[in-house]
Amino acid sequence: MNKKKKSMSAIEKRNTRNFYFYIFPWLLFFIVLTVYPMIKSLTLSFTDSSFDGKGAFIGFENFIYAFTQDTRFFQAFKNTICYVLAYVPLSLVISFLLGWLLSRHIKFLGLWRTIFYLPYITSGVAVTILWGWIFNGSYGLINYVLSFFGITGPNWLGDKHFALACIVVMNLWALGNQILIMLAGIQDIPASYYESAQIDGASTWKQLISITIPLSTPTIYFNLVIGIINAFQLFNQPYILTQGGPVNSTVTVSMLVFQNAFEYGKMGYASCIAWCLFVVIMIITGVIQTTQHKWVFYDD
Amino acid sequence: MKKQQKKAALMCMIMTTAALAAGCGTSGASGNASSSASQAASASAEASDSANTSAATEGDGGTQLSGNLNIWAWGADDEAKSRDAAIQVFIKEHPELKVDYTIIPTANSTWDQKASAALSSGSAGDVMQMSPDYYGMNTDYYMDLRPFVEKEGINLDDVLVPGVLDGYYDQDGKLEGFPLLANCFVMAYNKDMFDAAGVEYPKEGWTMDDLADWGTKFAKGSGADQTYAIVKHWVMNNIMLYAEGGTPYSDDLKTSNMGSENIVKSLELYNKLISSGVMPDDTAQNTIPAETLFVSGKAAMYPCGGFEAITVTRDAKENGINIGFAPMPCDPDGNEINIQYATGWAITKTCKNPDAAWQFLKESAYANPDMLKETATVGMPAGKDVADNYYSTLTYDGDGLDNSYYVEHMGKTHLNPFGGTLSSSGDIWSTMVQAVTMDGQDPQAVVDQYAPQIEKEFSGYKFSSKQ
Amino acid sequence: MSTKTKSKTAHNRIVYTIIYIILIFCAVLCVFPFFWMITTSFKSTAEAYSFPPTILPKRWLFSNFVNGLQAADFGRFTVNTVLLVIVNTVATVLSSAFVAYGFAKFPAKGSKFWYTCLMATMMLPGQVTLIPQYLLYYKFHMVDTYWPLIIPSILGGGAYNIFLYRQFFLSLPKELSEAAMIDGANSFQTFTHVMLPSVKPVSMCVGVMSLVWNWNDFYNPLIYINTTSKFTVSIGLQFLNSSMGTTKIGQMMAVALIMTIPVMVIFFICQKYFVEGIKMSGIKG
Repeated sequence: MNKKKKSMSAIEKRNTRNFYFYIFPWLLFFIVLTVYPMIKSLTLSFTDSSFDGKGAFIGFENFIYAFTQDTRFFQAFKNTICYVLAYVPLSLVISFLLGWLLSRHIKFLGLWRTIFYLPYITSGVAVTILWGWIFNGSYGLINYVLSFFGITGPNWLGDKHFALACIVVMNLWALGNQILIMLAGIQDIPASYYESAQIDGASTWKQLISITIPLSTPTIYFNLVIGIINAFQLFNQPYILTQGGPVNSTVTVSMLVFQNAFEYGKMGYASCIAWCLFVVIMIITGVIQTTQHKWVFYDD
Repeated sequence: MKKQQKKAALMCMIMTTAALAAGCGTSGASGNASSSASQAASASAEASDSANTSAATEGDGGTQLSGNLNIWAWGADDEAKSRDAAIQVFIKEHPELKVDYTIIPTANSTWDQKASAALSSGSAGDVMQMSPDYYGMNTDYYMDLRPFVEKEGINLDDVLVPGVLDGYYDQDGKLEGFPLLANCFVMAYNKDMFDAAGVEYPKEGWTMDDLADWGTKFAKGSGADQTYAIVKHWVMNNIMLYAEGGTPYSDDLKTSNMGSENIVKSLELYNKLISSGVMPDDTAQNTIPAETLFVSGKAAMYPCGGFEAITVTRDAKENGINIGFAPMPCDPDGNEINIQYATGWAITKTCKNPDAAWQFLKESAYANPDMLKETATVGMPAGKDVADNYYSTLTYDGDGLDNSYYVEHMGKTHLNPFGGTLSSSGDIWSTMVQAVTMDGQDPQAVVDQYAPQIEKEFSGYKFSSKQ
Repeated sequence: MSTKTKSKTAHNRIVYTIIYIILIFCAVLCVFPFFWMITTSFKSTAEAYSFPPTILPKRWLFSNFVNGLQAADFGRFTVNTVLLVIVNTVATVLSSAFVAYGFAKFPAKGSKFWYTCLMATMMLPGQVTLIPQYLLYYKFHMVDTYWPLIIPSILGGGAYNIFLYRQFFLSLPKELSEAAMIDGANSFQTFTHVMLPSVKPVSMCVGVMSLVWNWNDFYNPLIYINTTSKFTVSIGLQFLNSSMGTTKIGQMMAVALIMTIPVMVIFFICQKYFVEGIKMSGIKG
């Protein structure tokens, strides 16, 4: 009994030693280059600092202003949450389906993978500008194509009901990463599982439901968490294409942070908004993480 | 087992050599730079003090310049080329100085981030580009340039174009920066489209109200063939602020006038222009360049800034479009509505070599004709002589535009109303415009809703922390 | 028996036809903007926005490439970028796998706490930590060197990659590492000989993503590099993006296209290693 306890603690000790040995590089980075900036920005959020970072302590005034007076603050959170709710589920479904199709012993797999990855490689400022033209109400490509069917398309990015949806579509286009990760996850499933299923005569559909999906849950979980974190920080496309318009319908929280910090010179208030966003993301990912054991399947 | 160890060792080696190679590759080039930067940082406070005293004591006879000078400029495309060429002239004429410079692309406010970080850590250049409407104004980052001007013993009115310096004084009278160039607008129009529509060319004194009437003759077609009377240039929101005789705020920047009757009228007019197809709406501006609409014959008028005159006239000629030029529209009182965009240089307080920095500012502004001529490709140089005798003689393709127009009209301009710190109010104004023109909201209701927000912004601005 | 296989192959054929139709449809959507980028790079600005759009340029303007490449010192920038990308990619793959292995396989006191910290670092918008971080690098005398661009890769390679590796390490069967342990391998040998080869497809993912990300990264080089001769290609591209509204779209697309092609080629070549990685991965049968 005593001996067993002793050996347990030896394993624990070894695990602890190994754990810190392996995470050391990251730990160093985290403590020096992440914790300090985060604390700094937290303290800033309680000041009225301008862009030179100097300002007086004003308690919770920034937070009170954000929650009681700044209408764009709520608008930004509303838009961001709408975007997350639309983008994340769609991105998961599409990337999983494409990843799965690509795993089905397709010919020219390399070519397909390159094609689906292409948007991710090219998605920079240049392509964002191209998308702007595609969505243009009068001269854009989409409305040109629609005109063949006798449909007069809306003024996509200029219509407050469609603008955010356009940005969702743009980002769904560049799913290369997620598809690749899904594919890697699906291909990592040991062939033995399928072999035994085939012996049992399970259909493709059944294999998908009972083997591929459950065994891909760690990958899906990964894409879910990352998708949520990234989607909450949506910035580039609305910043370049709509500047938050029309009538604040595409203004996002990250954009608000950026504008306050670097355009309006309100560093303190920008930090306050950023920390609100941080807390929201923390809570949501925290909830997902605590429920993960119910649906994420780890083989150990 | 032995083989395994070998492999592991090899991997470690790869990892470390990769890291080392990276380090060496960069530190080889940068080691010196960073160590000298640190010395400079520690010495900078001293240096700037002593420089100020030396500036005061030395006569204005030949100051011997020496040492380093680090210049940060911004710009893309033609603007970057112009800045580069002007700095090169300076370098050639001052072999005694070791000048480093960098030009940062401007798009998407990247300069703002880089400059904010660098200024707040004290690692910015000795000379930084700065505009009078930029939030670099009213900060503690830049030297007061008045001692330099005094030491120079020159009457600036004699050497600078009237009006180009005013914007660089802050509320306390501190001179934060020194001008490089300024730009305003001319109304370019497509003669063929006017002839085809049977409309007279716009003449001095025309108004945006007039445009709402005759402009409808250009609003034709749909989809592929849609044409407009005027593009929605990004300057349009600023022009419309003044279109019905209003002003956005009081001259002392203390109170907002955005709740006034004139602003409501401006919004009504704006809405009329867009809903009747005289002007495209806001998104067109973001998704298709306004310039393209004009030079491809889809819009009859284009407010053409001095910085883009070369591009616009050349593209129009390439596409076989005959263009003429008219002054900008007037408000109901007959005052021309023109907006000025200007930029210049400032010297940081961490500057190690203020004398050389001032030499650069001085030469950029008026004292070096060759530098001013390089600047003249993207705007009106601040120096009077070159502006009057060189810049204003430059002509463009199209009917009768030369730069004398820009020089003459510069005095009638409003400085970009919502630049720098004021941009938070400017963004609210854009939202107001969108609410009326794209969302069909009532102008009076929009003003009632948003004007108080702008008032609040104004009460929050800290224009001078010292007062 | 024969009818059954026949119907099965017929069924298969239908399934595969559907699969290919879906794939082709998606591929067209993916390729189209890229195709448009190519054709636009040969068009004049007016034609790029002409309506109705022209599929192929009426006049092929090769000058867009010539003029676009003259906007900045692209030769120098390319060398800088390639060096940075190679170092960062190698460092990211190795260090993020290394750290993730620690997170995945060694349950220790505090591991949950540190893992939460790891996740949290991804959630704070970078814009507010930018200035304090810059201040630190400045204090370390690293501003205007490549160190601020490389250090994150060496020290963990980013939370995203660590998280990705960790997920895959967790999903590896336990027998794999246990077998190695029984053979007498220490944890580091298990890591290099069992763990890394088993997640080769993931390493390819991480490598390619880090390559693309570093290649396109505009923000960090711009913030930390001051000397023009140390700039990267993505900064050069921005010299074509005028904030004054007169962006020369053809030139911009031309340079963006040239920037994209090397990454595309590298990605395509990497395909075969993906396949190899899969063959080697996991325990067979």
